[in-house]
Amino acid sequence: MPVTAAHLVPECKAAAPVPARVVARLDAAALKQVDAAVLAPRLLDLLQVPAGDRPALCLIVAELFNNALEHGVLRLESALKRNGSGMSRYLELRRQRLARLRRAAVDVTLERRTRGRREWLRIRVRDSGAGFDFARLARDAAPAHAAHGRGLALIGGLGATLTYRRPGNEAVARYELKQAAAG
Amino acid sequence: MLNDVQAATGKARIAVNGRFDFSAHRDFKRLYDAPLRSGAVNELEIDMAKVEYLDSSGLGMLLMLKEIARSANKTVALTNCRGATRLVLDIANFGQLIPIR
Repeated sequence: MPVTAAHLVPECKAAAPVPARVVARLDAAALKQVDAAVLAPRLLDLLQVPAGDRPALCLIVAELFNNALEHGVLRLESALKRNGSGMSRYLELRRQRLARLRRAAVDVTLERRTRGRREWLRIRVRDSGAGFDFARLARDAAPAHAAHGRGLALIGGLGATLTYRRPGNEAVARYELKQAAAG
Repeated sequence: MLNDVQAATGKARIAVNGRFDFSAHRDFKRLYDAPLRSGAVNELEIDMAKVEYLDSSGLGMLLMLKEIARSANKTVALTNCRGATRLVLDIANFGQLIPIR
């Protein structure tokens, strides 16, 4: 490996700028292969999000992505998950519809924003589906002991705000970073 | 991903490994089925020591198990919750719903 100036005088090496935004667009083929548990950490890595904030942000990104895929693109109804046999049916439908998916897209945009010393992450997930009646979510929030609806409660519990844009196929979450960015 | 069930004094221990999300549903069901039906079992203890990833769908499955177990007059508890797993459970205030030991 060639010796570079950076190796000789490391303290003079210019700090690489931290990316401010990453965008991922997943088409039908990508949606069949990529899953939220893998996508979220990768995107947060690219954005160099501080380690202390990663677990919370992984949860938020994964949740919004799964909602976009399952409810937005695959049109699966949450209510089906109310009991054991419903859950099995839900998962079978998920598998079938995903396998048959021809044209769809989910766009995930992560953006760092600062104001003075405070820093936020803005997470936007948009899907190619028809949207839904998001006003209903506030009215019909699932009770704490229900098996469905846990995801939105988690996002709220993490202190993130969540808004939807009409017709409901776009969700925007904002999360304030707790850990200061390194360097 | 999910492994053995060991019956002890009235407690069946179910160890969950790896990802505990929707993809684990079928395996999870296979694991809890027999203990749920056994007259010798009165509690299902879910050992979370080797869970690498837990999200809201995993929480949903635990709550669902709690309901199913209740109708069989059995209880559910979680043990060995650590790291990121513990974080998710704490954020969700899950200890109020299922005992965490």
